[in-house]
Amino acid sequence: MIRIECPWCGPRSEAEFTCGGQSHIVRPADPAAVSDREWAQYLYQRDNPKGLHYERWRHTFGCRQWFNVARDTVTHEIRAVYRMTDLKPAPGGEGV
Amino acid sequence: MAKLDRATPLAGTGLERAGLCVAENTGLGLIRLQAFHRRPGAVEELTARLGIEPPGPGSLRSERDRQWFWSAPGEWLIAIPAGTEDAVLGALRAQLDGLFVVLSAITDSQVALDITGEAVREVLARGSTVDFHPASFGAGNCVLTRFAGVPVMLASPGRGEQILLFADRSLARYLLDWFEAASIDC
Repeated sequence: MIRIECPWCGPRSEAEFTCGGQSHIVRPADPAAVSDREWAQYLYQRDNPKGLHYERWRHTFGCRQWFNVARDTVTHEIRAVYRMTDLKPAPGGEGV
Repeated sequence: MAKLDRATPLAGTGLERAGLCVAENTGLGLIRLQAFHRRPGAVEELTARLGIEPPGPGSLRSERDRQWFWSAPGEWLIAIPAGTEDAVLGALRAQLDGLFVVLSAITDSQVALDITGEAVREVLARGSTVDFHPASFGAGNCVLTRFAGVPVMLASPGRGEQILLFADRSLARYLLDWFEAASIDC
């Protein structure tokens, strides 16, 4: 079990959260203009890194808010927690 | 409707042990206030109209006969004397007229439990990973958490060791059963 720092409620156990998978996925601006392969890539293909992974989490049993987490998939270390409106921190940058 | 009005989730049943008492609090009416917190200045506008600052994350505030509990960014649960919901809703709607807010009476969808006794914090700790030591969860604190596997709000209004628990009405019987099982040694 990991401890996640909700931006609003503070540190809570993983059991209170729901993981929403990879974050920062951008929907193609013009879906009609992309190929089937590109659309499938957007819909279904996800990163599976060994190491730093940017994820969306929701504090389901608390304030019910979505936010982003930068987590190490090997050690489960939470490198950064930031709100949906915040910029993605660069790998190796401040706090990550 | 009168028949429904009188029906409470636990129908007067509760739990009484040497170290723990759980009783339904039927004296509270509940109103939920939701504001669009992402719009810059929304909460400040709300504060100016209300004339009081609603509590921030993890805290509650008592003001006259109202208790405000923070439940999410831009969202509060307001506990008032039971039966005054319509009057308070009307007053708040007039006060907040023109603001992008939603006010809902949710008394009938919730159950409020008063949990008291010297073992209260020990038993609470069996249901959640939140730290219930008085230094972390003292008077004026409230938390929304996963408790006994279900979502609840727990608040410490500051009246001795009394803890207030709010949950969906349908969970009332389950929670009472859970307290009975979890406090068997209390």
